[in-house]
Amino acid sequence: MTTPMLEIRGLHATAGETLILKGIDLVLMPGEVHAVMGPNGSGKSTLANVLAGKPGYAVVQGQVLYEGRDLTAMAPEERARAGVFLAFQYPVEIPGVSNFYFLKQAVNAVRAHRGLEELDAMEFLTLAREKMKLVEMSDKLMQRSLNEGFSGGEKKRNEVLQMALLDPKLAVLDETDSGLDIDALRVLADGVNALRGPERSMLVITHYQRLLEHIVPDRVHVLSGGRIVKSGGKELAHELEEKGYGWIAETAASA
Amino acid sequence: MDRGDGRERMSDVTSERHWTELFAATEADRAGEPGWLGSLRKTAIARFAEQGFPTRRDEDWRYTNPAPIAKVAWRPAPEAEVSHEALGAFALPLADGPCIVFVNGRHAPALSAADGDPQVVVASFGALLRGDAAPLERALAAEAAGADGAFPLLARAFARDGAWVHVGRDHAADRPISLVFVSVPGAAPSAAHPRFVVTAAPGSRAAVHEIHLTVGAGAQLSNALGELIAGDNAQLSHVKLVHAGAEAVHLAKTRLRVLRDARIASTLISLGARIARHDVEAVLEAEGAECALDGLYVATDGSHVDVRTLVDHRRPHGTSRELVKGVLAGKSRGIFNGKIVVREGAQKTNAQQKNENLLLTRDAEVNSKPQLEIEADDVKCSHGSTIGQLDADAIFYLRSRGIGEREAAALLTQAFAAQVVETIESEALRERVLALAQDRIFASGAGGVRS
Repeated sequence: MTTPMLEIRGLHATAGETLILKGIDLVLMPGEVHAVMGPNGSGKSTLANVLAGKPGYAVVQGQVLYEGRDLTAMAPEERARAGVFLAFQYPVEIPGVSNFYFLKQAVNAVRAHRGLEELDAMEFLTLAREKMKLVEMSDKLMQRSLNEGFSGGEKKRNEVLQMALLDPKLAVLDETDSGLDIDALRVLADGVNALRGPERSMLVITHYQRLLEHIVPDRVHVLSGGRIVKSGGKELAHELEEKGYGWIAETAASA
Repeated sequence: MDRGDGRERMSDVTSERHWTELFAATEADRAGEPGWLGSLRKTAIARFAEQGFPTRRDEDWRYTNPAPIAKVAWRPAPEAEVSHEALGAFALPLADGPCIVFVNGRHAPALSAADGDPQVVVASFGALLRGDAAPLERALAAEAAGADGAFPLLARAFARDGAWVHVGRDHAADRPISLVFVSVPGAAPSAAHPRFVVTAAPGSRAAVHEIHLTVGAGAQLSNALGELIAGDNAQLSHVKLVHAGAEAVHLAKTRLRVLRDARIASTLISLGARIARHDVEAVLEAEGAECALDGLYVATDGSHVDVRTLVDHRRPHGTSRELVKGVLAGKSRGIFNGKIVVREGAQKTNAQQKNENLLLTRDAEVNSKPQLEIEADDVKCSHGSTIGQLDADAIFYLRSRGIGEREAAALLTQAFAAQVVETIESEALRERVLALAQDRIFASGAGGVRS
């Protein structure tokens, strides 16, 4: 039997002092793309942060297994090196650290973990240019400070570029579509779709159904009040779009 | 280090006597010197005996207790040998231009190198005394009228030698001039007094790298006194790098004199030393003078660094800009005291000052005190100071990309320091300084990241 890429069982987690996730069950097989939808405050970002290991978020009950290993026991950098990637909802601006230097350091950290040789500046540039085409990103963004002064769209492209460069097995996209116009969304979705493959799983977290027309998921989970209240095929996203999140709240209440 | 006032005073008396007795005891060493130099020395030691060491009751020494320095019976630094390899181990770009090296206050010709530019004189005080000493006499007499204070007075009384740099009128010196002061601690605590006078004649341009290094371990006091003068329309860029040992004490008074339409850009990089105190005084003496002061001080576990700057706008249309950053790790202490004075009549002055501090640990401490004294009414002055720690979100972002926690902290610290380090014109020195700063903060093991 194939080991799931990600297996979440009875996950309860806190953000600071507050219990946000109150029992999440989710199984993501290799090559699958699942969407997690939900209204504001439903716990979507907490789920993303717990998976990435952000300090301040704690698992109080249940387990999270990545390729059968306890993900929660790993430091954030260990998760990244082992192939877990989070595309941030709000990528952080870091003045004084060039995008180029940062990406090279990140790629080499991951390569070292995989027993590959470090890339020098020229080798890295060649690789980066190839991946930049995926998200139609220009060279000049490479020389600038990391995300500093980037537009919303540029930041999100930079996230997808990082995903392409780090070549993860499990990618969590946290509201990668928020704040993007339809053209930018299409470019981004094309980039993400190009990265889909039988060995790579994705968890696409979004507030809007719009993204899922471009990145078509295998399964859709609806998160509300820290629980998955409904799961279904891609058509669930459409149903949600038509009926609104109020419908989910009612369904959950009557269940 | 705090002791009862009575005891402190008693020890001060002892330590002052130590220096006056030492002056008398070393008289014979200075027998060959010209009379004018001897009398400058005597005036200095007499003034020192009269005013004595400061105490913490002096406002200027409130945060840096002078007693632990004053109470030590520092002996004159012994003659010492430093090999090319030992100096080379610092991997500094000393061969990029003329270089003059002093070891424990003595000129080391074997480590020094000229570059054949006849418009750039780089010599020891000793060499000038053997030839035409008139320019040195004028310079030291003028300098003696300026800075005061116990430690500069001791430097004036005791310095065995010094570096003399003169860049000819309207000459652009292409290569940086390195002044290197090496401390080699002996078995007992010893003191050397690095001195220099740099003059950029009107219309000239030059870059000076003032470098203080410790070779070996042990207690040594490096009590520096130097002056840089940019004549009318001259452009002087100055980098001071202190890479001192863990038991070293570095005290310095540096005076920058900026004349009409001249510019001095000075970057201070202070790494290490148990106690480092940099007293920088920039005097914008004539109209249109411009000065840029940048600084980076790094204090690691157990060390104390005190940066004092005074920017003195004396004439109209002066411009000054100042950015001093501190990185404090382990249990360390940093002090920044920045004063801007705009004198009466110095209209249209534009003066800016900023001090930013990064605390890497909970045990690190910083005191930041900006001061403005404005006696003119048509000026633009601003100052500000910040104290913060590494951004936790930024650390997490880097870690989430596979970069280790320490590396992430190093990267962010480097980014913080970069703005200052980037003001160093020489690319070779800039890159080396960045590496040395990183080593000091993170390779020592004394750093540690705030958790």
